[in-house]
Amino acid sequence: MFGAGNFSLSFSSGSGWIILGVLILLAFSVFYYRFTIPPLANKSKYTLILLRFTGIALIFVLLFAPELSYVKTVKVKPVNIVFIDNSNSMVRADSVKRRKEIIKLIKDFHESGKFNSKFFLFDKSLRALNPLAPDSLTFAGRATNYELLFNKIKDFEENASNVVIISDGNPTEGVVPNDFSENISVPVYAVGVGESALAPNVEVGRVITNRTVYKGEKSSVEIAVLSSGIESGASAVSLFLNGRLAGRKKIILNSSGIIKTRLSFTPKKIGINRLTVVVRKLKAEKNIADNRKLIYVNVLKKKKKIFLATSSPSSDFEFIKRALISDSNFVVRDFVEYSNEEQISYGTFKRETDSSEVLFLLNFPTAETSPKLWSIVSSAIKNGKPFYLQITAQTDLRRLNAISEELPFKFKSYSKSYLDVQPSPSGNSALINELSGTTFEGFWEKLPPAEYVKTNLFISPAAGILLYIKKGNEKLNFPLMISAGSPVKSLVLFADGIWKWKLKVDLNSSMFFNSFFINSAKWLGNNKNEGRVKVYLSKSAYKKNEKVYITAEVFDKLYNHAENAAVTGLISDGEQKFNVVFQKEKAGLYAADISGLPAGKFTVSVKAKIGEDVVSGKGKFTVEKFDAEKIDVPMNQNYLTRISKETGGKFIPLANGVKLADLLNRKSKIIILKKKEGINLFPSEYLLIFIIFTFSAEWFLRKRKSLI
Amino acid sequence: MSFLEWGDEYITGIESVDNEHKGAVEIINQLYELSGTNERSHISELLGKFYDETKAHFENEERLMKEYKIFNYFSHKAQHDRLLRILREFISEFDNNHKELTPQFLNLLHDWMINHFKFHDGKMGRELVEKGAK
Repeated sequence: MFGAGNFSLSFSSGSGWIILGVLILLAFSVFYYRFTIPPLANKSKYTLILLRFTGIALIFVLLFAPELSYVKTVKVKPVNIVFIDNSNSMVRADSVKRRKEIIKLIKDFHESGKFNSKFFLFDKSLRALNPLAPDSLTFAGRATNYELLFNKIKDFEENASNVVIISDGNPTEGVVPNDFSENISVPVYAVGVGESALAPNVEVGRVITNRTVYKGEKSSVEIAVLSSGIESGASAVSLFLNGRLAGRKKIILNSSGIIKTRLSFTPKKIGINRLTVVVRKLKAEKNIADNRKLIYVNVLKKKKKIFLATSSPSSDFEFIKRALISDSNFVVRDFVEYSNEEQISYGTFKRETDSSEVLFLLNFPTAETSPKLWSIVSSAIKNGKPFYLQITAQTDLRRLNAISEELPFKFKSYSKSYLDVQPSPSGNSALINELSGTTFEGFWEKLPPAEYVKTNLFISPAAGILLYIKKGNEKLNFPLMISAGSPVKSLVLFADGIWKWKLKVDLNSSMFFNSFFINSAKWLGNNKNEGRVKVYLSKSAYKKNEKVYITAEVFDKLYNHAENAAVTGLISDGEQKFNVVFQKEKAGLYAADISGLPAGKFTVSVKAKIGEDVVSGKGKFTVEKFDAEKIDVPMNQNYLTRISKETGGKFIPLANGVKLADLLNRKSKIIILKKKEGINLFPSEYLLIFIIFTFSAEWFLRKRKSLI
Repeated sequence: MSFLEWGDEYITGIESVDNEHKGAVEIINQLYELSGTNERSHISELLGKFYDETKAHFENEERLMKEYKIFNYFSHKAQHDRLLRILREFISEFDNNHKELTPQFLNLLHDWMINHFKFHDGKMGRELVEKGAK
């Protein structure tokens, strides 16, 4: 590179080669005009040598892409770049006051500044702001994009002396550099807007309780209280049942941010009851909307009413009655028909029939059964009352035609004779295991024989065979017990003398007998319309970043809370799918949570596996579109301080903003900028014209001197 | 979010009575705040204060009712006596560690106050105002 003062000439290749080439071209030019015909005067000869050398030397030099450059020195006035965060989060807490403070700061800064300042607003985009017309400062931006701001600083062409960022320091969009000092070469003065710490807050978090409870039975409620912005402190949780205080407990909040406590309630009213959990407000707490949570529980009558009716007393009737009475969850009423019709209170019989949840009919109807009684019972069954029917030799099968649609079978033929048989479970009915409480193979065959009423049946499609008969070692294809879930829930046993099953004490069959009929009554009494998995969401609509709490209440076949179920869930909005695994919270209650779901309407399908039994339930919730700027977050002082420190600037809280102008005036300096400018000589049209001129002049002179 | 909220519907129009009612509401809310805690001495102190202030308040109401010859004086006084008896018994049991400040007791005070403000004191207040009391 050749240089002279502020000018310099540079080439694409080494200058040694160029000098050598130029010297060769000079020697060639001298050699070319050493002798001429006719001989020329020295003056003309040297002129021709010069022209030839100049032309070819210039062409040679151009091959090496010469660039002529010069450096000029200019004095540049400093400019302060002021970025103002126009996002909504800036004024969430106190919009009027904060807006006033920020506008005042901008105006003061503009008016007192010794140097030029350029003002920009940034939120989702970046644009210039006229500081004297701050009306465009709306604080309505839906995002805070710091990337725009950093790009602007990098591309700023003027002498950016200082950068001022007036912000709450919570970027919600764009990519921000990890190392500010590498990306920003000017000091950044960050003016922090907002409170630097989270406001103290307590809220009722997850509330777990059985959603189906029984009247008069004490039920517990697990309550999680979440706290933020507070290291420690005392509060209290109250539980109200239908607006009445049911319990209260003091809690000590700590830095973990979560305290779990338990309160209980005893419902007195059947039906939907309202439970409200209230956590006491903290002294400086602003948001009290989350200090209360409302849930509903369904309170059921504690005891199921069972009505046993017979027209002919029997041992089976007595044993079954005693078995049912032994369970405190049942209220058992019984009716034994005597021949004297005058003594029968049909009104009472009807009341008992209609108010009961399950009917047990043994030797009913017989040929002697009062038509009125049978009419009451058959009407109840036609209206959907679940029933247990034990068909014996006394049962009048023809009268059963009154409920032929509700029976799980139709008779092809029957006889009144008995056959001593043992029960043998059908291999594919899980219900019989559930009712008997045993899966022990061979258990049934070890029971004493019962008297089987010989029948030939059509089994309805909705029915299932629970027990077949076994004669000696031979299993016969005749049903002993049938169940049906529709059109009316029913269990039908074609046997008499089953009380003997209770005598087989070596197999705990005494307990088996009771539990078999208790479980049968429970199964019959369960509302077939009620799902066995109930899915509850902590609320119906969530914010996008909010945790979704899902609770599943799982029941077994007998509608007891399932102790050990494997519960999984699939959350879907139709396109995307998310899996969750539930953890057991207490008997029958399983909980899961998920966060980070996109906005949309979701269905949660919960599947519970209880042994081999798989049941499912569904719930729905919505995740609303997220507006990060709507969340009341505190000023991120750490972030703003980091930007300032790493770039050699300073963090200033908005309250101290008046000091900013003085500080920047002291720091702003006029800088002397050395600016390099260059001209690329190839292809320079002037140089090419000059080359043509040298060759033209040479040709003209040669012509004049008669060389051509 | 108080346990017992004071409302305009409880105003009797007699300033001294209304101020005393507000004082009673405040003490019940303080008792509610202390329930579920182990601060027995504080609760006992507050129960004593509540009893004293309630007794003084009832005496004031009864004096006004007698002075202005209010119709339901005896049945109204019977209500007062009943609450004072309940309070005396409860305080005695509480101080002997035989009872706790339970939700049931707080609910009883809550319901008694609301019913009494609405149906007894409200009626009394209207009659007193009609007869020129302030």
